[in-house]
Amino acid sequence: MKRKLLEMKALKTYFYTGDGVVPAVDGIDITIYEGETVGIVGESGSGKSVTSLTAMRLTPGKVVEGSVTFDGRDILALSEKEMRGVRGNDMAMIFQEPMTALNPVFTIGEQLLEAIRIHMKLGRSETKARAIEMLRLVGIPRPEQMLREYPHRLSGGMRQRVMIAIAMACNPKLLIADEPTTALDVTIQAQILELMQQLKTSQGTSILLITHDLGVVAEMCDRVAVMYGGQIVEECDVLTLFTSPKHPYTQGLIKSMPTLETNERRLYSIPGSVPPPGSLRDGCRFSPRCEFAQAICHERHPQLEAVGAGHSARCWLHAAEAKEAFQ
Amino acid sequence: MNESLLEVNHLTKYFPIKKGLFNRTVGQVKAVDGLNFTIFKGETLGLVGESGCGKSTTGRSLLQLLRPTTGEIKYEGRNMVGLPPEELRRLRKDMQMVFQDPYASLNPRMTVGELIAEPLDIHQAASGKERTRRIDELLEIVGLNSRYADRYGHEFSGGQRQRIGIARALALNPKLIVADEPVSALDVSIQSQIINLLQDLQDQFKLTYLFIAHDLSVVKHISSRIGVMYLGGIVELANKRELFAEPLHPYTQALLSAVPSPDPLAKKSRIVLPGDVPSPANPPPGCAFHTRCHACMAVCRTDKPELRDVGGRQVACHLYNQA
Repeated sequence: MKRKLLEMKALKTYFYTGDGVVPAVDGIDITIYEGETVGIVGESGSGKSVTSLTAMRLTPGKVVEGSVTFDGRDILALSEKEMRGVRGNDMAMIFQEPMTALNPVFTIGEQLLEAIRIHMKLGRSETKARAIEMLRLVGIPRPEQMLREYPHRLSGGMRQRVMIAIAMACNPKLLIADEPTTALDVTIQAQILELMQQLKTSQGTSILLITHDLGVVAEMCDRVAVMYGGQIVEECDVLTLFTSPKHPYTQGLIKSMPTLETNERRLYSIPGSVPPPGSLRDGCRFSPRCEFAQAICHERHPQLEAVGAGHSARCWLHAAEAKEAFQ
Repeated sequence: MNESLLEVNHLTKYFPIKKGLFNRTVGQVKAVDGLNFTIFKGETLGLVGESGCGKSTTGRSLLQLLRPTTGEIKYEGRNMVGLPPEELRRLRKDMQMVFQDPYASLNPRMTVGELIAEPLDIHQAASGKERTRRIDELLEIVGLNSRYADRYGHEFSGGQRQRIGIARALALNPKLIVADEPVSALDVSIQSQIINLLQDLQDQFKLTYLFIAHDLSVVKHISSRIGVMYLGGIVELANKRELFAEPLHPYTQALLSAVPSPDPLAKKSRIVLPGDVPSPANPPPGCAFHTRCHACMAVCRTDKPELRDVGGRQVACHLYNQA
């Protein structure tokens, strides 16, 4: 069995706003093992980004319950100074918008060297050599010149490569990628995904990949957690997700995607709309949009239960199945 | 079926780059460079391409929201370029647009009713009771409750806002709708609702669509024919089944292979294109794609290939010129 790298247990991150408490993440368990790519899939407002930000302790919300253990250390108990040593060094993050994540008034070199200088404590020329090596690794042409360029001179794909170079500069154990290719064109997306795969194999980095694109999930991930309304509704390995999804929401998501292969005239669609975060209700959060909803679904909240080996779902339809699996 | 509704001949749109004290024109961004295509009645023509390839500029030029630099756009046989504003306004009743961002395209100070009725007022198509009836009817057509007419845009979710945008486009019973990335800003489960709605409306009102998007699977689903654009020109235009079964142009091949497939077992050979799209202000000589093409020949660097018929479809590539 591989070593656990990141473990989140019963994690709850709430936002206290003028309009009341918003439970953006409401009881999440996720474990990432070494060298593994775990995907979190969900629509806007499902709490997937807040989950990843909580792991880095970057969220403005408050962690009201639960624990985050990274590499044997309790992340939530670290001081801010200790946390700075973890961020960028052991865990690094790539964001969706490479334009807003890079500072426009500093050159690529200044931003890349900063990360290496702070965490690796190398000499001046070694720092620069490392920066050039990183830029070459992510496939940027003419890296020496590129250090002197400003972000606006680069295309979206190149900027995202620079972001990856900064994130990977200190050989982090975990890379958190929040929608890393959503802002990019498909051919550029293919380049970036291939690059992330290469880095994963050569550096042994674990990846937490946040996305709404099931195609990207199928290509990149080993295991997947599907989020809805701040909770995980289904978790399994990637093959099971596409071959025998259990939760009606997961099934609906997969069916509602037009693919290059299908030829049906009408698409399946999940009725209703994504609930805004914090709109709590009794019973299953998906029940108002679920075509299989029974009386119990509207009354009692289902638990995440095992429905197979390494496969769990939060649905009353499979509660009986879950009981049998336990006995 | 094969009656043409809109014909585009040699359409170009250049945006000047201005610099210096006297605003001298120092260069031109060739957003659209010599397009030829026809949209037939009742069909959905899809336009795909990456950002900066000129697909939105094309859509806007068709409706004369942008004045083309050269070329002609014939709507039912009549050239629209250079028409006097009054005549143009009358023609515009027949063609409407659905925009990408449902958050930015609805005026936050207008109620849904006012938004939908705005085209009716401008064209004096309905007033009084008739106007109210039409608003209610349009809301119901797009699947919204007619009670919503007095609410403001911010009270709705992204999918509902896009429905309002569609209701607005339908207000004057248009024949042609240019939909510019109508579902890209929406969540996956909402996307399919809007796609189904657009198809239902097409059947119900015999609409013709120009559907612009970058998501190939969406375009494939909704279109009957697809044009693939690269750097201001169409590189391949074909029936969707033929295009997806056997893409001919090297760019189309790379584009199709780049789409991540939602099937973890599908291990396909992917063509990863090197480099980035060149700047349209300074496009490469010859074929615009030759800098990234795996099948580049000497002739590609010097001669620009024309879009020509290759076995029932149109391809702009020197590879198919000998045959």
